[in-house]
Amino acid sequence: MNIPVLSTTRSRKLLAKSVATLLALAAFEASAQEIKITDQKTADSLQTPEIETQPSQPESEITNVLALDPIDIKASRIKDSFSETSNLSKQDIAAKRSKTSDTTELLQGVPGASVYSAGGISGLPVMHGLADDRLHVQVDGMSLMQACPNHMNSVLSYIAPTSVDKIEVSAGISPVSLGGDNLGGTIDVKSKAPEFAKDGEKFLVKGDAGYFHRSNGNARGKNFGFTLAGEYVNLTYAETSSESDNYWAATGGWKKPGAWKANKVGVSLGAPVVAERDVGASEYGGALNRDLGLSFRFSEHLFRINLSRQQLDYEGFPNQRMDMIASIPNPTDTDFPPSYIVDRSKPSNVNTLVNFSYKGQYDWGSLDARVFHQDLRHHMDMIQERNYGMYMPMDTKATTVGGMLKASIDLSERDTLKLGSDFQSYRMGDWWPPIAGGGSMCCNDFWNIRDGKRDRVGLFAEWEARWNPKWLTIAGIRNDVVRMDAGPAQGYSNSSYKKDADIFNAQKHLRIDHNVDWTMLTRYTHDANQTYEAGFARKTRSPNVHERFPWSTFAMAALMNNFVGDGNGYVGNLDLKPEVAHTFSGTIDWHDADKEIWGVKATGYVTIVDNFIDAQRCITCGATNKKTKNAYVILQYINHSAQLYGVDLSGHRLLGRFDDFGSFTGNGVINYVMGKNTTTGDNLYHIMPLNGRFSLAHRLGGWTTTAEIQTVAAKTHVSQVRNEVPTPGYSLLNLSSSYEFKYARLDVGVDNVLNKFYLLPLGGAYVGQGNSMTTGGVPYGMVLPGRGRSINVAVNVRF
Amino acid sequence: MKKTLLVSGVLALIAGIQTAQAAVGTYNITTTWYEPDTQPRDSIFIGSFTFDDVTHSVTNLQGLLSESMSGDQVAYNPATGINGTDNMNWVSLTNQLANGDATHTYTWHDATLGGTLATVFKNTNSLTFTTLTGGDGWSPQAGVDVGGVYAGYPKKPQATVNPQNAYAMIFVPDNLTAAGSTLSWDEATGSGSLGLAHTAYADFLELVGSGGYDAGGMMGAVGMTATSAWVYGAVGTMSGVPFSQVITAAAVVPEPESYALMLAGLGLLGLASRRQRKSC
Ligand SMILES: [Cu+2]
Repeated sequence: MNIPVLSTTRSRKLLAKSVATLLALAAFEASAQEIKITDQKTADSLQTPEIETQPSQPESEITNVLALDPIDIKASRIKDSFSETSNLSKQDIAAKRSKTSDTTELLQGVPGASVYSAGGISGLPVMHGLADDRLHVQVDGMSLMQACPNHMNSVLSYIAPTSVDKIEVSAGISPVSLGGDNLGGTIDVKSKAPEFAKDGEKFLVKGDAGYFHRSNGNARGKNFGFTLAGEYVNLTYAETSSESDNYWAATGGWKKPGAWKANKVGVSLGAPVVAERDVGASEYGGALNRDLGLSFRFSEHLFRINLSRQQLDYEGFPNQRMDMIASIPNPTDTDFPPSYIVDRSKPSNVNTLVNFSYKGQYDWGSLDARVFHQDLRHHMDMIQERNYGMYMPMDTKATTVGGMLKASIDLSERDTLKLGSDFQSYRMGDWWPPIAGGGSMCCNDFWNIRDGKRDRVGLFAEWEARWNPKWLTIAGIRNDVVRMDAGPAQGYSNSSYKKDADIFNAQKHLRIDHNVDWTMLTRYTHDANQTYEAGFARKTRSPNVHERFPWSTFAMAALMNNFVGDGNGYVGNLDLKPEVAHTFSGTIDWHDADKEIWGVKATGYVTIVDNFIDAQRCITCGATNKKTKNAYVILQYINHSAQLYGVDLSGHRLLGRFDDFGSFTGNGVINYVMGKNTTTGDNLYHIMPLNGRFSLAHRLGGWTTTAEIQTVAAKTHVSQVRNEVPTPGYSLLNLSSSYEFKYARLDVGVDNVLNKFYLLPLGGAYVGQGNSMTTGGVPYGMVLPGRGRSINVAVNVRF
Repeated sequence: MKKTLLVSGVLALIAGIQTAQAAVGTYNITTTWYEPDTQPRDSIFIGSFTFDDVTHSVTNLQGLLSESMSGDQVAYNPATGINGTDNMNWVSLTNQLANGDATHTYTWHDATLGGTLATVFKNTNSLTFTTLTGGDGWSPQAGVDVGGVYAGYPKKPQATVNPQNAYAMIFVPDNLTAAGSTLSWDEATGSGSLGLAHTAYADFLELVGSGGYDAGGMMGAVGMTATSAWVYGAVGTMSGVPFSQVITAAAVVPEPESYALMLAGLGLLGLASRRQRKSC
């Protein structure tokens, strides 16, 4: 296989050069104060005439709107005060929306962030090497849950990118008041805060609508929304729909040869033939997100209730052995159990949310309260291009009730105390109906997890002190009690499954964890140009239900349990202990006084995890499974020790500003992370290799044009226990241009301009074609490739 | 004198046995297809056949085929025999069908592989896989090409349409002797006996609603098979691949002239021993 990508050495050199440039820039700016002042003056004088012609803020932000400034500012005081929080603003997000329909993908480019590939709209977020459930992912303040054994319901799939107004990423040392039960910090994705008519205005009526198209995969979608508001009431509705065919890599040749693809023309029993460059099972359709919000404001109090639903007809998962797709018993069939047929037009996934929140300002401080309810129905089977004659209906159902109460008390000018509690009550079932003729799938429901329960109650106290204008500290402690339980296991039949089921059922399933977290953070503001931060935290995460309860070592059943996309099968472990991470992190932030001309930020971190949930080879699954290095294997979760460390570097510099030609700004982000299992000496799975993004942006009036180079080193540190596959390094060129004025925004872009072929370092195993129900049906060793060139267009209008 | 007698007797016996081998013999065979997903159980054909090493013809092939998806997680134990320690279901294959046209040749000699491939079916005809998109309906390649889907698909109910056939295709090397033959194949590296790599089985039995085991059909329309990806482009539907084969002589059926020679040899030996005893 000849992969036309930048050689590793070349990409390493490029990265090294960029690091050197950034550091040099930092040193220069920090030491040469004199020069800088002059610089700034020059810049200021250049800047002055430009200010008026600067792209106006989007119209929505400058209308006569009374935002709830007093409440917002107070409530988010702590979060805003720490630069480890990377906020993705509306502008950042708007530019990315034309590129993706996956909210998780919006995190690409945030220092320290990366994404595990999954379905087209269901990527899983990673921060500093910690992914998925190791992060606390919230949508509009709700700590939502997944239900599927493949984590197809990425929490961020519950909100569409077009509805996202703001993303707050607080990596690593997040204050305890932001939540527990995570190791790597909090990602809070927020839709637009409600707006109200200004005093004296009767009404506020606003709307927006948009359409996008991306050539690769023929991805398309539209969105529509409106706001009706008076002085005290706001009604908002937003709707987004999207769909896509299979995306394609720049070239073919990355699939192993052979008849396993089961898609020979004329022989594939009517299943669609997947072209050589196409990524099978990467399509999705009928994705629809709707959100209805009603808000009331009474002086200093804001009440908000949101009803939202995410649904989806089908979504392929090229690195999983199943897809989200509806299948139903064949109505003409008289067999019991019945045979199944696939129905692409029926929703296979419906997630319904009710979110009630209150935010109030009092003399003593502020109060936040929230209660939410999540109802999730999810069905899986196989998209037919995998294997036309094979079915495996799988159902999951989950409900989560959660909420929090948080008081922020202003003890003095210096001290603020935050006290609060949050809870989550999660109930789920994961069962697979029997089907006709299925030797391995007859004749009862297979209960992967029956009556799964995971309840969590947290209590926290946090003290923030502003000792003087230079020093600020936060110290917090929290306790979480996590109680998990599951009912008896049951196989399809009493033959192959009985032994494992008996072993599981003989054990006690109830597990209660008492977790203690604490965080200490301090910030020193030397002057307007220099800020330093350091933090130390202990964070604890209890296992999720799919790490503890799946019980079958039978390969087909185990292969259904996998949420990392490595192609392997997983067996749960009842005796898993919670993971405990100790993280030390430090940040240097150098910038000009207004943070407009230049800035350099570097964050370094070390995380030591006790009882890190890694995997070992299944002991009872045969001798080959224990030692093979070139096959998919069956694994069992196990507590080991782990260590992660890394550095994020980011910087920007205004390169020049000219009356007639606009301004030029250079941006750079570099991420480096390493992860080791210190018990076995193995590498941790899916650790993003050294990578960087460097862009040059030109702004003139409402125009912004950006050229970006994304460069990624080869992934050579791979998890041996999982037979993870190395990937070569690569560099991509992306171009984009946007024009924004009062009533509209137009985005045009080309991703992967040079149509380079590359493999995604966090793409996982390609099992999107052929017989995925067995360890060897799809040949081992293929990695999910990245997209070939795509021309993206998006239009949004506001009225 | 007695020494001469003894030596000539042994020689005649050996010659007799050798002549007997150059003839038709009955053999026992155990062919194992490795099943990574149902370990420790494998798909195993245990049977017998008659072999003529001059014509390379394989006849009277029959035996039992294990269903590795059935039973408890206990391996077949050769020492205790079928259902000795294992409790897998074993399917009886008794029909070594006569060859028909080019696409219905079930037993044939392959000079390149240096052996004979022979197939025995459960049913009295070969129809096993769907012919919806063409194909001969039974050969390992046809099975791979349709992803192991049953004959009759997509008609319902499956229980009536699916002929529920099963077969085992084994390989008998030309150089088979009374000492037997042991072959192995390593699918990971593609090394070993290429003849064995050509062997395959398919099993489409189903017992609808039995509540017990029901090992033939796998997932809906797909049955259990084993094939080598090196030969057919894909492994079996549950990743089954050719693994090993042991052939041992059951009973030798020598031709008349060999009998005579052998008897003469035995006679001479008897004479020699008598004389030995006498001389003591
Ligand atoms: Cu799922």
